[in-house]
Amino acid sequence: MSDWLRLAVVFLAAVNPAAVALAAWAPSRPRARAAEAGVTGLAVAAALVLAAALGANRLLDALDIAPETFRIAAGLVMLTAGAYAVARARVAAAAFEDGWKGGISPLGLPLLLGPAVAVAALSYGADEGAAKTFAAALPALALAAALTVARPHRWTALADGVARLLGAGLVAVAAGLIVEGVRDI
Amino acid sequence: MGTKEQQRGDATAVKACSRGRAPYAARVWRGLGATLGLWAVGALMLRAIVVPPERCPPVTATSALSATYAAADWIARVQRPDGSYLYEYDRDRGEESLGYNVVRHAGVTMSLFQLAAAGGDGAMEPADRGLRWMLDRQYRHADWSALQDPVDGSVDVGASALMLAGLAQRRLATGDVQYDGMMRALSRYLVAMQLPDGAFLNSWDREANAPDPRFRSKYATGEAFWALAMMHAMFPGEGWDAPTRKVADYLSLHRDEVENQKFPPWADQWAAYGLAEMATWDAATVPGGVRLSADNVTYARSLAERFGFLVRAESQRTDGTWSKLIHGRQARAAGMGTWVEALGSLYRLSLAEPRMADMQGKLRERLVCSAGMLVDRQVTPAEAAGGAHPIVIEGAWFTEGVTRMDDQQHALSGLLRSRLAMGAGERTE
Repeated sequence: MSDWLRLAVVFLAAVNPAAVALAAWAPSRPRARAAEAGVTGLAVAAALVLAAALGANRLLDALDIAPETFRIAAGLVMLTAGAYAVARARVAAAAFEDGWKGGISPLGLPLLLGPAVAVAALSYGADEGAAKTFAAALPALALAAALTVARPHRWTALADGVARLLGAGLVAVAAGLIVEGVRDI
Repeated sequence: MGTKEQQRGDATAVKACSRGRAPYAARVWRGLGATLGLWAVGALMLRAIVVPPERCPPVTATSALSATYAAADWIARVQRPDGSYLYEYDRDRGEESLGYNVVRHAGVTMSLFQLAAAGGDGAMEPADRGLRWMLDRQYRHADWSALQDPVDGSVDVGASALMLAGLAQRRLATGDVQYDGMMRALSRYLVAMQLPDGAFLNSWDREANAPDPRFRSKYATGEAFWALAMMHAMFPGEGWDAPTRKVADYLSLHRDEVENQKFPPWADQWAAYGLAEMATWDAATVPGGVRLSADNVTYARSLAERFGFLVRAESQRTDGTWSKLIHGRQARAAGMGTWVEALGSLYRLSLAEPRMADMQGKLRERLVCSAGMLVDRQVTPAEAAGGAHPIVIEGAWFTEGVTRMDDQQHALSGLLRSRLAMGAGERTE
């Protein structure tokens, strides 16, 4: 598995598009308003991921934290987010509203850019570089944003299962990240 | 997800708006504020508990050398006329401990010879006094000789291995060959104590006239490994490479399992010394020119990871109450010094061994950080001046008011070994 693909899978679990969609789906929304929210949310989340990945090394330097040590902290946050997704099939509790303002919050933040995605962007941004991190996060963010617009209600049960599965995946990724943080120099 | 339920929710939302709920934009910003507030609380908790700042006090090759001299001066000042050292001192009570430890005596003497080998002025005289104390306490059997504990009469591998390592450092320092016979005799004792799997038994049973088969020592095996690795470097062709390789493979492949290490690899700085020594063996003196096997390199990498983590964790500790509560108390110099020794050895290994080259940058970073912490925690002359007995305080490292001679030993050796990463040469001149 290439580095990018591995990272893309990590971000798929961190973003958890199925859980985001479950939090955002509402049957009575006009599609245009939902699309407006989706595009805005994607833009906000992508911009913040890019900023986090670009500024990761400088931020960690300023905080006097080695990237290796930060992996442990990132892993703990991702572990918690993953466990929450397994239990609730959600990435966060949020009352969703349409339009560009709803795209900023709650869709952009904290649904698309949840704590797990934020720390993953910082940790992988410091370790793997901003470009690779951003490129790996973007597909998951775009998929999640698209799913909030698509509104395939008859797949709710499926989405619920996938959200929990991705949550479990995130728990596994987080455990690996913690071990990496402990075992690195 | 019930559709009706959601429709009811939407309808409620519309009614709420019409009853004068806060405008939509205000609710959005309030939600955003709440999210960011929660995140800030989470980040602060992470900062306080998991990722406090890693503090690496500044250090240079010169300040590291000054600290080694100060440590060596402490050892020389507290040395007794018979060559033994002050074992332990409690500065709060102003009391010396009555105990003594022959392995630590050999280790302290070895560290002085290391400083002498690096060109350190003044280290040779106290080191030779310490050596004389050991030469007077030899247990001889068959064709070998070993250092015997004068208190309980035990003949342990660790003491003899460190005595041998000290003699090897002395030979490097002086080129003097007068103790070559003693070095070979000590080496023969070590080989007599080696098990077929490469490990070393801890003690010679004087009543049975045989190695005591009951105990291995997690320290002695690494100590003997390094000492024998130096024997091959100094006396190639005499066959010291075979037992050295055997123990290298034991350490690399079996030790953690056989000796039930709960969190492998055991953080063994002596193993790091030995591997670094093997990496510089003359290729012409080893079969096929292969110094380290792939397993040895894998093991060395795992040691680098372990020591690197220990240093990162230590750099997060402070003397404050909160830090002690969450992260435990700061490591004593005898512990942290071994990490610096190990990282210094592994850094050398990364310079000599291409399969370790990718770790060089991080090894240097952790090594300099740990050396900086050691220098920062050493008692300065100004700090010692206020105490009742500055002579036993200055240049030492104290943990909860107590210093032991191996605090100075390991810190001295580690700082000496760290200087290469700060751009200094092997010798201090």
